[in-house]
Amino acid sequence: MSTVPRSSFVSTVAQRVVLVVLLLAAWWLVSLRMPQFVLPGPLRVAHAFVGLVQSGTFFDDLGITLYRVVAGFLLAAAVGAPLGIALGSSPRVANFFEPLLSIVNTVSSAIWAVFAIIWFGISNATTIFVVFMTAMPLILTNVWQGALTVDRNHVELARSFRMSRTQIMRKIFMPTILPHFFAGARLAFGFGWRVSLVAETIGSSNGIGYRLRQAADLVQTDQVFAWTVTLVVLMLLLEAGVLKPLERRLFRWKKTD
Amino acid sequence: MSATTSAAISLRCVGKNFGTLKVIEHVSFDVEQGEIVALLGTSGCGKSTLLNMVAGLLEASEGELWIDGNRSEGTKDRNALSYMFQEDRLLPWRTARANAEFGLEAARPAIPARERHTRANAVLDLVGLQGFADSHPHRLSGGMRSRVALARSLVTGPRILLMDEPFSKLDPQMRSQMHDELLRIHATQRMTVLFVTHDVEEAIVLADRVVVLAPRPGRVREIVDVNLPRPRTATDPTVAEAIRQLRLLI
Repeated sequence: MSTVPRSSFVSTVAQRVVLVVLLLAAWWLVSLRMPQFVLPGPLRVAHAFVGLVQSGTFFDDLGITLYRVVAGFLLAAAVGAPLGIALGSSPRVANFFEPLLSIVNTVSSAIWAVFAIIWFGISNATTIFVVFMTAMPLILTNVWQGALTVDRNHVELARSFRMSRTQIMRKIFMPTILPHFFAGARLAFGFGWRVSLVAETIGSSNGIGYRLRQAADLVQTDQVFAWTVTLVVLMLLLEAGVLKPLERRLFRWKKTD
Repeated sequence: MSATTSAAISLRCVGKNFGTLKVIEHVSFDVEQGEIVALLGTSGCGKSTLLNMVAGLLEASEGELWIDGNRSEGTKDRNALSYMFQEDRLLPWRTARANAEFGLEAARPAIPARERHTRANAVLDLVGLQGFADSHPHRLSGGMRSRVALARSLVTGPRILLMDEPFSKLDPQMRSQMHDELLRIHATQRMTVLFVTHDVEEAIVLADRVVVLAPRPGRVREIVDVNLPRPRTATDPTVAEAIRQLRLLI
């Protein structure tokens, strides 16, 4: 019942289209005055993109990077969510471990990448580890904060119906935490996706990050641009096509819709 | 137990201490089957504590509590009982129907989803909420939310309904509507009702008997029978007089 009025939807689309056209025009104008290896124009990048797709390894690279990000992310969710719930339900444990979380958060992803190379060498595990170390604290923190918002009245209600601890966890804690988990997961996936490329540039022999570095080393700037555009479009599609609709469907009970 | 039919709820010399603080002392009274009894008192006289002990949410420090003729201890054997809180405590992520179903989800053996569904629909009809089953709580008015909470308490088909100032958050007009609703449902279901209130008018309008509590520590000051024909309106002279008399006791 919360459909956006049609006119405002059309106007939003129109604004987006104008913005894209403006960006492309600006890019094209600037590229006219620059050497190709510094800033290739939109057309040349489009050609490079077609070349990439036809090269044969394009979808393999895309697939392997996606696999590493998703694997790291799923591991982070599987570890971070239960830990977050544990911290949220026990203030003493939370107090004790809180500094550890700050430490993990201050270590840059690049440092994790260096460690990963030392420990795992050139392998999938390197990138997965870096994604994990970046995403896990984000998910943990959000779930933890979510667990703190659980309404004691709701827990008491469940107890008055003589529900077991598992039932209280499933019927009261989970639904309360879910929006927080979702917000954390979205953030974590975005960060994980970005750091995976950093990890791949130094710790793998395939994947998008590796191709980016290869292209840069060979001064194939048009290919670097083509990969970048591909990534941006992919992330936007994921956001608008999967995450936003999913969030709207899951949380339509919220007042803000 | 005696040979006569046993009381629905029976408190015998019940006491409660929180640490060294005595909150309730020597409280004894019976609630007969199908009776509506009000626990009336100012704040701090331990009426909610008493109700929580009957509900099994709290353990009594002294005395005995009998339910349906059985001595009950701890939180066991409370299946005949339903508790309605001061706030509606609806789960915001559930629809009205799913909130009503919540009362059935702890049952063992588990009740099949289809049956929970039909029973929730039936009880929503009973409280006059047909057509709102698929609405989420934030779309419902205070009165409707209160009805959903009542539906959730009734869905298990309880023989005893405990209520802790259940309508105190509603505006006066809505509150008297809910009183009528409760009495109408009571007339068809004949469950035993024990409710806590600090509102003298509410006690007189609803209850067959009123247990008046004295504060610090909470103890029974007097038990008043209300022998007035229903429906009772506060503006009716005999009802107004009963309210006045009761107010003098507090």
